[in-house]
Amino acid sequence: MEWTDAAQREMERIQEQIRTSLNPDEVDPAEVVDDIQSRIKEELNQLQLHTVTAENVQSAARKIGIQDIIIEAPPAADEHKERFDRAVERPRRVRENFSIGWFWFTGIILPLIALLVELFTRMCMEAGLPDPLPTPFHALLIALIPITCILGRRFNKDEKTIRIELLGLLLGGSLTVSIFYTMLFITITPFAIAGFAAIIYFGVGLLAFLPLSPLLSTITLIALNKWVKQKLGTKIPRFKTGMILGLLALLITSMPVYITKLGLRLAASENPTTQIKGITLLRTVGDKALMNRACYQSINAPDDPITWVITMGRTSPEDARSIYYRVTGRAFNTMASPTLGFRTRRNPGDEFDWDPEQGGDVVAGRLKGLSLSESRMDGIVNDDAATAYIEWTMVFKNNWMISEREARAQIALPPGGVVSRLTLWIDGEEREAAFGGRSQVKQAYKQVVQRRRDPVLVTTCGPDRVLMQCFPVPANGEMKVRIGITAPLACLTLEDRRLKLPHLLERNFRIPENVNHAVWIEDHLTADLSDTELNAPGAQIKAQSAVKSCWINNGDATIRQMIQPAHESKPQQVAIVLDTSLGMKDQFDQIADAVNALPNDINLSIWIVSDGEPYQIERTEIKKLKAGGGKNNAPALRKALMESSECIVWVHASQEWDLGANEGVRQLLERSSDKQILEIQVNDGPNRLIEKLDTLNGFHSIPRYGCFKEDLERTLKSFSADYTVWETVRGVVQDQDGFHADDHLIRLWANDKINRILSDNNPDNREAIELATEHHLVTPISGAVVLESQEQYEENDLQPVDVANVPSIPEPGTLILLIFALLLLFYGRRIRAHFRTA
Amino acid sequence: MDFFDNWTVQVRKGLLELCILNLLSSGEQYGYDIIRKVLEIPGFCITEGTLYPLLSRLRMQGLVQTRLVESNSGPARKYYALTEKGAQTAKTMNLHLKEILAGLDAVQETNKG
Repeated sequence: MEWTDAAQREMERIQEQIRTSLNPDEVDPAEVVDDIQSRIKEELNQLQLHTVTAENVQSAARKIGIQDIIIEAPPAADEHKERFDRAVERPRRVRENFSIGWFWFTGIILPLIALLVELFTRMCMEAGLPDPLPTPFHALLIALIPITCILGRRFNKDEKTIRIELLGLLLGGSLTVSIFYTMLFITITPFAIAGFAAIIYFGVGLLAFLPLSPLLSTITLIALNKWVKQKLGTKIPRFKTGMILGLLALLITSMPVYITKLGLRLAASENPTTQIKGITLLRTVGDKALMNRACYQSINAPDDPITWVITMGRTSPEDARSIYYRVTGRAFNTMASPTLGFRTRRNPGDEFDWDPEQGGDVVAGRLKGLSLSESRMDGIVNDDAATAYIEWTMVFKNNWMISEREARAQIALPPGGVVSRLTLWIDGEEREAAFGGRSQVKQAYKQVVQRRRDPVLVTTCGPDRVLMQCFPVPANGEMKVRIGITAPLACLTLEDRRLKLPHLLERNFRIPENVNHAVWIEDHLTADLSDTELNAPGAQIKAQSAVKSCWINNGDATIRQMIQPAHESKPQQVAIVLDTSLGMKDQFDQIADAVNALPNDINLSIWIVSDGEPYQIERTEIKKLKAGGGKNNAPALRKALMESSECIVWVHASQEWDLGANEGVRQLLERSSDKQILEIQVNDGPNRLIEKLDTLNGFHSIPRYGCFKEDLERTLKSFSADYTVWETVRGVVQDQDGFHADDHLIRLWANDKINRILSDNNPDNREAIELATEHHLVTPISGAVVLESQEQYEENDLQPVDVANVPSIPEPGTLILLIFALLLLFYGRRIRAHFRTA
Repeated sequence: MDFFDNWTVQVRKGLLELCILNLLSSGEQYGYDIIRKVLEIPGFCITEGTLYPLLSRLRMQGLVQTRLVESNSGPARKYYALTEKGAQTAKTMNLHLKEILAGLDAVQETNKG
């Protein structure tokens, strides 16, 4: 029920007349005025009027007999005024109705729309504007504005709706909240006002101007505050307390946001000490979602003045990405971005709706809907020749109906292994890959991905690692690929030969629990292994043979392989470089135990990777180390190399983000031929530093055959003069001595030769590319790509491998046929001979 | 206004306070209820405009007391009740009125006789 101004004045006039008519010595005029006012209101309530006019007030007053109190008639001048008021009553009502509508729009409807739209779409955040809802508590604080407006409005109609103290708290609190948000969007308010004017004119695009909502709500709340104060005739109780509480609530809820922004600025500083302060602050109280968002946000997007005051600037996305890794130990693109509306709520498992890395060089996070639906591994092991060939067939399924997907994975090859075959099924037909220079095949792949056709690409990404990319796995469809891997058996002793099965180090697809890797290694292993089992140290083939020498003809030449004790000089000085990134958690006890295996006559120094400068510790202190965040290992490796250690054992976790500074390590390895780095990674995952150091002469991976501790112990023991390390040497010879091997020996010899050429640092690596192309090998300078059509191959100057020349594993049926044919040939001759003699 | 009308107004005025005190002697009453019950008495015709100043005067003289009771349907209602002094005064006034009425009756009886 609305009271017109004239009605208010009429009520005030009646009250004044009552006061003047009563004798204050006999009665309490205020009490009578209050009683009469209540009765008039009660009468008006019963009439259920929408708007109360002066006439309504007079009528109610007459009904309750007000004339029995009032002695004097109202002065003539007031009658004129009343007539005037009545004359202007109607247009005034129109204006009042408009102001009521405006109040509803700016105080209740607009804040509610702004809140709901932002809550469900994160529109401001996606547009690069300040995030109004960094926490759910902020949504509750914004909700105070429409709630206060509704209650304030009801209070103006009926004082009993809400206790005035509570309304005072709400008014104070919500006014503080709306002022805060007005400040938050102040930099874009002029544009929003211009836009708002435009939408009033054109009537469209309202949602684009939601940032204006806090300013309008602030004005409305100030007006509401004034009305309530007028009604009370005094100050609103608890209003100031409400403002203080509102400010405190904002401070508490927004504290993590501004501390994170401050931490980002400090961590992006050029001063190393300040950087460490920032990283430490972020690790302690940083908001990970906000840090992740900073990795995507444009540097040109407007920032709120509060952030400017606190941080004096914004962190660039490039800096934020490095900082994110250093703080969390995870690459920003492996976590689902919080910037896209429903994502975090829809995908609690951190799966991406869209793929920012499609066609790129990194695996990144899991994609929604993409999974491995089938996996089989077929292999043959030649115990005597110490070679193996494994074909890994994978079928990818895409249940994401919206778009096609690119499946990517980093595959750990058996130590010393090389990809020698790549097949893609297109329309049910097998298509073999073309092998060529690394950049040539990458370029071809990217071109075809851009055209959204069917390619698959395999390139190396570190020692014994390849990156496989295939596109497109169609929406609601499948894609089938096969990778052939030629690998040597590692000789732990002359007779004990091992083959670690290939496995997935990093992938952007899911492996459902019911999907196992079906493994069949002829005469050695038939099993269904889960992905965890395949990654475990036990997933290896054990072979036995005492054959030391084997050979194979390669055209006119003969390639021979000798298994013999290595004649390398043992190091006198060993440095262990220990990573302390998050992935090293719970590993230090095992490392401390493994270090005891190092012979006592070898000088040992231990370098620790840290956020700041690397430092040295004693071996007894290893167990006290703590792991956390992501740290750059390059400075510690360089320090260890500079300390003239002959051999550096680098024990590290995966490093998902390239933190740079690797050229210093490359330089020292390139310039010191007598130094080497042996790396061992404790967990699965990519390592960007390893990818950068691959191909360097002195850089090697420790072959993995047992658990991490066993492999490290074996390596440290091998530095003892008494310990025999068996090596496999392949070369071109004249004589054909020993066991006759298969074609895989040629591929392994070619791979060795390519690695030798590359480690010479000779810029002319044409010979290596030719060798890789001739023997169909994926090496640091070559790759394999399957394209959809012959035209695409020709366009990229590539030639797919002839099916007749690819390595293969004979099908069991083929084997039986071969045996049958041999038997037929053998007995056929004998029968023919029998008839001839007869 | 003729003589009789003027006289009835005077009688009403004189007896209105006693009437209200007597109504309140049965228990506390809400202002509007008092009006309703007074109007049921023949000869009494008052408005709330008359009642509220009267109740205020009685409260200032300490004869009645008030208390506010929250209402579901509107503003809080003010309830009136007799104080100890009010109850005593009502008793004295009733006795005095009875004596006057008895005296009037006696005069009438004498005139008839």
